[in-house]
Amino acid sequence: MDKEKITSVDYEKEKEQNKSNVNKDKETKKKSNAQKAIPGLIVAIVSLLIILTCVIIAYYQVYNSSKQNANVLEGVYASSYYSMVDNVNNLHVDVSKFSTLSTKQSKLNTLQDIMGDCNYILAGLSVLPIDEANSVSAIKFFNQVSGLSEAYMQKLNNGEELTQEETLMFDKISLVVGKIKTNFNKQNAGMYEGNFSFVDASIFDDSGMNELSLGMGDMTSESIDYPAMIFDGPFSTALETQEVKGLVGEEISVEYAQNYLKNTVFEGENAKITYLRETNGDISTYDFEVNLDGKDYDVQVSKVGSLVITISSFAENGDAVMSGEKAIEIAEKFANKIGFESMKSVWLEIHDNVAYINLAPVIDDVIYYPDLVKVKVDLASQQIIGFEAVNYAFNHTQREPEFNLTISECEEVLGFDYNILKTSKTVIRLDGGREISAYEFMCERIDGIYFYYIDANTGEVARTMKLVSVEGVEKLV
Amino acid sequence: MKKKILIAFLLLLTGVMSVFGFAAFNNSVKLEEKSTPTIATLEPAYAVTADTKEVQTRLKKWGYYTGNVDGINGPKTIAAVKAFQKKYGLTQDGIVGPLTAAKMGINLNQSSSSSNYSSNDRYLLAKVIYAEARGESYTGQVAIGAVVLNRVEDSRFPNTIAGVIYQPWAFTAVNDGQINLEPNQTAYQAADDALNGWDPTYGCVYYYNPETATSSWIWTTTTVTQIGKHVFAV
Repeated sequence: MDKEKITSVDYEKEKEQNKSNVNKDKETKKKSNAQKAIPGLIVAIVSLLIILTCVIIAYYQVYNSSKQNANVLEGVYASSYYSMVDNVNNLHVDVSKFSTLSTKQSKLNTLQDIMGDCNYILAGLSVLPIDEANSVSAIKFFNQVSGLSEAYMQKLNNGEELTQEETLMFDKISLVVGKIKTNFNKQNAGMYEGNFSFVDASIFDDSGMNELSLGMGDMTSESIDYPAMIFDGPFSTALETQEVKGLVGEEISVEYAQNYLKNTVFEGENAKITYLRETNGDISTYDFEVNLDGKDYDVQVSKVGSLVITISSFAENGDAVMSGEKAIEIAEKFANKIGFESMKSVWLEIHDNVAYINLAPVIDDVIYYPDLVKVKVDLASQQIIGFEAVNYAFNHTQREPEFNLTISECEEVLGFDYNILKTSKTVIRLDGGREISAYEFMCERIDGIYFYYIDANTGEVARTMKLVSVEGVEKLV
Repeated sequence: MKKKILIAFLLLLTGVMSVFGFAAFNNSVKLEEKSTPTIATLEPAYAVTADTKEVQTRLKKWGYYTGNVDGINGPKTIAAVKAFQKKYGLTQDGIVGPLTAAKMGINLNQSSSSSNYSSNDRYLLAKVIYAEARGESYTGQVAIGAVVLNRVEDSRFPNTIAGVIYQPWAFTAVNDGQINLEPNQTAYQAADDALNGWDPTYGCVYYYNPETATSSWIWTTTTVTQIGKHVFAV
């Protein structure tokens, strides 16, 4: 019995001992595990620190780079703005004094200065982030003042006098420039207060406006009465109301235009013609999509006069299988077929296996350049893939050009050191839209081929063009 | 446990590499953008304007001018011009105006709105066409090119293709950087057509996508036509 008791006590002791040992083991294990986890923890913390550092460095770099870019942009904007304001001030002085000038030379010098002022102002305006609605009126005004000055310089150089009305035009211009100057100076005053930033001010809001645009708001045509400037130049007010002379007759229906395309332009039953829409610009047209033998063409036919105004398509890849001369033949035949009479090729340019051919009416040996029609022929497929007759639609009319001077009289203007390759009688259109009769002299000079257009009634040089090569293609510039 | 720590460490390292990689990529993109090649113009459009150097070169060749061809319009150059003018019965003012220039065979008729387009212009035009209208029909692409060129000819906008395209906020593609995408062959063809006078919009200077246009002002323009997603207006 006692023995049994002893055994039982021993067992309990042993059990407790074991328990204590297990606990000790667990604690030891825990300690050991904790000790093992320390390096991992350190690695994780270090990694996190590295990442954090990298993120901070990357952010700093991006921030720094953005800041540098913003500073550079700020410099560009500021330089453009302040130069522009300076030149507005200069322009105001120059246009104000113009009507007080009496000698030809002083007028010429001042007109030259006015052109320079305008060009600097335009350079500034085109760089600054101003929305279109608020910049178009001012840009137009300065372009016109520059164009007007150029036209007046031309007139003075040709030995003509400026009329009183023409001279006083600069007083009207001076008033407008004065208003613009006041607006800018008001804006300047605001800028000098506080830390004005062009970059910050340039950010557009949801309505498409920003601080700079708002500042320009006072220069719209609603706020300033801009004078109409009519002169022989590209930006003349006269060009805004161009008359469509070449389209005459009744207005046709969509069905008529569709039948015309089917029966005359794209002959054959294969042509699938789909009416798309109307285009209602200065020239009103019915627009169609034509599918012929798997190729798509966009075609516009004028509502009045039923004239093909444009055919647009593109060339497939392929090698040229015909010459430019053959393409000219195809182009002339096509133009004649669709109602453009007496059209002859006056220019050929081949680019990427596509021949661009300019056709002009040639009547009684006179080339009518204002009525130019352009035809595009794919030298691979031998198909017409483009046709454009907008100039013809605008300008074609019955004319009786006068050539009061002879070719040899006009040749004198060319000076010397040239070799005439070809001469032609032409009618050309000047930048301002006026047409003149001119002799065309194709001349070879030491530095290349030139085309001179001499007014056949005044003997003045109306236009000079030089043949230049751009990417292997010869162009007249 | 060790494995887990190792994986976590590797993941973190990947993250770090990504951050640096992104920064490096960003820089390389910037460099690429900066170094986008442009096709060299064989002869600039202003090659025939009368600058002093050109006048001096010609006068020197003809024996009127004995100084250096330095582009400075000094007394020697003016005297040479006057001598030339005297010889040809022109007003002896020493200024190379249109008559004197014509006698010298120099063109002064380069207007600021000239349509003297260069290969740079072709490239820029193709870029803007591709960026703004690559999903449109061919005619729609030509129309975008035509609008750019119409703006060049219009007094209300800058007078060069580059000036029109990069006029701040004028084209979305410039703002969002899509202008830097390389144009495809169709865009080049459309640019060529536009440069050769094709204008399906008949003189439009504005276009917009009516579904996405935000400016209220654009709705006040006069619509001429719609080609694809774009409405064209004057």
